Amino acid sequence: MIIEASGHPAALAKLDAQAQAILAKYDKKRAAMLTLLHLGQDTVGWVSPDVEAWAAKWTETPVVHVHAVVTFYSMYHQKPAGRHHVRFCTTTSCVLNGGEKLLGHVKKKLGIENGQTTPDGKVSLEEAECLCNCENAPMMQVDDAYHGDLDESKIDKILDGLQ
Amino acid sequence: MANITIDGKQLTVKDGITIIEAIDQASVGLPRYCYHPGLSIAGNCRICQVEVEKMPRTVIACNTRVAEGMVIHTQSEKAKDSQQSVLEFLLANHPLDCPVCDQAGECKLQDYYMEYGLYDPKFNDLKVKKTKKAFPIGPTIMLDQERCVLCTRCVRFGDEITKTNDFGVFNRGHHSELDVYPGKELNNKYSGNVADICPVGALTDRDFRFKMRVWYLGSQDSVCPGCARGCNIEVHYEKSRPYHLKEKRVMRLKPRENQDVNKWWMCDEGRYAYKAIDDNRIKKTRYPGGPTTSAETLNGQSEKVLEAALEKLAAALKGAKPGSWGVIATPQSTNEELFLVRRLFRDALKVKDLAFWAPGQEGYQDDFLIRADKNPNMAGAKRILALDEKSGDITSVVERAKKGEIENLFVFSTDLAKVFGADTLKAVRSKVKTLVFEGPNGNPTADAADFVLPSSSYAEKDGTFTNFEGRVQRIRKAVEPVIGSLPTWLILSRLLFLLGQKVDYLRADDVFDDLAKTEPAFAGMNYKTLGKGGTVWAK
Amino acid sequence: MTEPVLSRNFTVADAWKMDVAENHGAYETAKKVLTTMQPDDVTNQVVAANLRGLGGAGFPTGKKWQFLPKESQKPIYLVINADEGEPGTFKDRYILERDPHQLIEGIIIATFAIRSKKSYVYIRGEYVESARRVQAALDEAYKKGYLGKGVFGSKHDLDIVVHRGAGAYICGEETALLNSLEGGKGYPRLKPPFPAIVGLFGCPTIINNVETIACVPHILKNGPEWFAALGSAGNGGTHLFGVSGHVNKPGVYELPMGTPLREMIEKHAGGVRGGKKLKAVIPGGISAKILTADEIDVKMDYDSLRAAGTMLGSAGVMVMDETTCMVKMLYYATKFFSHESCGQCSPCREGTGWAHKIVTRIYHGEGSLPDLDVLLKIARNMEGRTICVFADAAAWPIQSYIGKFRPEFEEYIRTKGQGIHRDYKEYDPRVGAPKQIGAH
Repeated sequence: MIIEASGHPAALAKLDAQAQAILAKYDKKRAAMLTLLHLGQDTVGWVSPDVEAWAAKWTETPVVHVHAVVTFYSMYHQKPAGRHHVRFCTTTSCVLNGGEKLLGHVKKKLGIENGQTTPDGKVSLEEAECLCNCENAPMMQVDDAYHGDLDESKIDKILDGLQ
Repeated sequence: MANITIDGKQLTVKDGITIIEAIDQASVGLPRYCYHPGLSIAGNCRICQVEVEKMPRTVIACNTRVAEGMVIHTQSEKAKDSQQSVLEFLLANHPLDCPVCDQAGECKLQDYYMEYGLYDPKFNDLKVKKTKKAFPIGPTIMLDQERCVLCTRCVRFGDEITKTNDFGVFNRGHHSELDVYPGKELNNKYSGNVADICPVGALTDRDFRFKMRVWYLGSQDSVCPGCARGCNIEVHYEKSRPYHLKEKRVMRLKPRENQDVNKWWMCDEGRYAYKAIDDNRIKKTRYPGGPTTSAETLNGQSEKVLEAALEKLAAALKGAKPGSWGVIATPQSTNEELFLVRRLFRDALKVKDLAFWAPGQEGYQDDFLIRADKNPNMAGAKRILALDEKSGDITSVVERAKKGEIENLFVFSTDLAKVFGADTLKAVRSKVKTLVFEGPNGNPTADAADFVLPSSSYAEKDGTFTNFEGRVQRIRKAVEPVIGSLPTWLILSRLLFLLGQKVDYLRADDVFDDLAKTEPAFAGMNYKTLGKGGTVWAK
Repeated sequence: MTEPVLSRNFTVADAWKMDVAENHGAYETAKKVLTTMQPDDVTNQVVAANLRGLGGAGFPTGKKWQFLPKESQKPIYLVINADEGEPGTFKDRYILERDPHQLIEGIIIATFAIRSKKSYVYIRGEYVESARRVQAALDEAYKKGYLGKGVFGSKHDLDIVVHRGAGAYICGEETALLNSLEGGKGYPRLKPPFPAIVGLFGCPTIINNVETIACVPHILKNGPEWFAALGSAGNGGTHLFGVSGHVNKPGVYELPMGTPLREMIEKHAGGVRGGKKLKAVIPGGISAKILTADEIDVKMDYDSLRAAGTMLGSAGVMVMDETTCMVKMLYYATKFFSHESCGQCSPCREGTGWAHKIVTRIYHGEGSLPDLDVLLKIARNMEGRTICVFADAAAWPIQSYIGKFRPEFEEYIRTKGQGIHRDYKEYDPRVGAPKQIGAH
């Protein structure tokens, strides 16, 4: 779900119980960082400054270091992504099995480049490194699910089926 | 203890220190970026590589501990190869900014290339572009992300020293960028230090930006007069481009290492207060009946005017009724000067109304370097004048002057309007017959005075201050006194001489030696023993 | 090979659920170990079994456990490295998704052996389903008293926490994983000190790969001699090999350590697809130095591959047939390393980026012959001078592809990208528009 920036503080404020449960699992507060950032992103759609401040508060970490963490990992979106996020694998085995051309097909079909979102906000595209599904190469991840043994028609079916 | 060999030299060092500490102790050179003795070890620049016999690869000196019998080579083929390769990697994406970069001349990429590099560069591609180039990240510091070698000294400084967590490294790989939190500023009281520790031109001082090439600068060791801590500093002044910035001679201050006083750091307020050395200086001597035209024509002329003023003043002092003079001394003066104030006013002229402590001037204090007492020599003033805040409070002298109970008033650099208000200054001026002002910078009290004796700033004279812990530290003359001014100790010894007192002081050293003979706190000290780090006096 | 060991439940439906797993023997061994054995005896068996770390480094597992301090005031941690990220590797995902109880049982026995009460399973962020299933398996285990206070009613307490990463290959490096788990960036740490002495939160920590720990129940069930004998000398047990690329049957294959690579490709993975000729094989994930078609008679274990000048690594076998352009493969390899470099230390940060820039230029037909020597120099200068072995791993493909296929690289440069094996000529997604190669 993508929530507009002005709605973030309210949405995050509803997560107290969940945040506490997460913190309870770890021996040190700061270790909850990655999990809290995932929770924040899953709630509002991306890691906005509000999410960073919220994570900084719960982990008792200076916000500059939270931002350093956010910018380091590729799964944290620093701007709103699409309602559906596509990670297309571009590493060795997928390339060996024709991934380059299929990536071109995806880009042409969606009309966007790496790092962009379709104008209707439905799909964003990321050229990803190995997702470790090489036995089903070429493959891509759409939201949580892995899709392998791709060809153009399979890709079309998957992307057309997104709401 | 461990016996080790560095480049063929044998030394004995403490057990458990790192190789780089041993190398620094032995005064052998070794390139380094991320290592700084005042910060935690990062080990990320990888340039401090040395060859250690019996180890298969070169190792970083900053994170390898010495062991008994270790044999270290800093310039063997293997070591040099490692150092050069790291240098080449860092220079690959480094922008060719030298012609416009302030760091030139004190840049560790330039210096290390000349000393350890001199290889044939092979980078032939487009350099990485980063977001912020020439971007002010706060009132004092300019950031250039492309020049940054990501040594993270500034990040560690903000996390460990000021604990303000200012900086972070964002992104990953060769798109890593050093920055402050988006929308935030670098705004703490020690921000200037990051430009000192940055080994390249990524973080530069905005105040110094484009002012002067550093190879035109001379340096002199001194002590900051901004507060009672007495941080050790270097005064950097132009020495080959006198008309480059008109009358500005001192370009900047930098902290000097003193583990007992300020470690490696100084505060921003002290750092940028160097402007008082050149700005708003009193250049014209004034005395009743003296010339009113400018005395700064020829050096000789202004000396003549000052001499005439001193003669007139000496006469006034000699002929005055006992107890008709009041003296407002200042803890801005050096120990030598306060000693001569005592000799002249208390001993020779038997002045009773002698004070130095101005109320309400205490300021901000923190648990790092900044002291509330904004005077460099309060301890010296108290000890030498044998007074404290109560007995040395200038309020009583000023009150008596306002009431007309003091006929003549001698003020050393204090501005009465600043301490008590313009009305008090007016009242004092109307009641006092002769008002003498002696000091480096102009202010309303100087404007109102009959005698104005321009004196040197701390950067123009030798002397000593005693800091809040009783450490006596030397200040040294960096630049000549501004035309028309003299060091206070010299003015006072002239007056003593004119009053028939025995004076044979050629230099400030001589005054100090005399002080050391008479004042037990300074017993056994001389300029040589005080050296670069100062000495704590006997309680 | 007779019976599958690690993969025996991979095709059993719902084996990730407790009831199915227990029907297939899950937790029997752990119960026995905790009630009848001493911790050090367990470690001794793991040592005798010749179990090597199966994440990539191949360090003897029992020996690693023995690095822990004998007495520790601080708690001891077991961290499971499920940050599978090495291109060509996918085996751990099978354990996580299809037989997580095998892993949990291994954690129970391992923590008992090293006297640890807390274990974190660090799963790469993209493995969402794996994290879900492991968490579900944990929940079931807690419910039955197999986790928490008094495991199986014994004196051993154990908490296991699933921790998801957020997309960074470097977090597979032990100490980078620790920094990431502690809530920071995946920056590897300076070593020494090693994690067994100063690890997670400054406490003694053992980090083991998923598959390594999954082997532990089997060692304890059937004995270390049995396990050692399954493999080759010094490399005990079976191993989950991942075969992908230009083969007819890509997939996970459980085979004894020491199985010849040729047999793995031709017999088990069905041979090179489309009847094409074999050109090259990467034996152990993208970091491993490449082998040519006439070098595949090597045995697939840590020691044999090391002797052959490459490594077993993560056992990610990637097969390349005669249509493969080595310049292109080096382009994608250097792209991978420059994207995944953490950026902490100079040689790797600058070297991986620089190498990729050169290879990109060559790939797009703007290379020159001296570029190859510059690439080799970059690789040589990165090796051995960094905080972790990522830079070495980045150097090896450069050295081995150019080293073993130099004539192809030189031809490609001379013909400005025509190459002899360019397998597509149309849309190049890297550049964005069809590129006119050779039209100068």
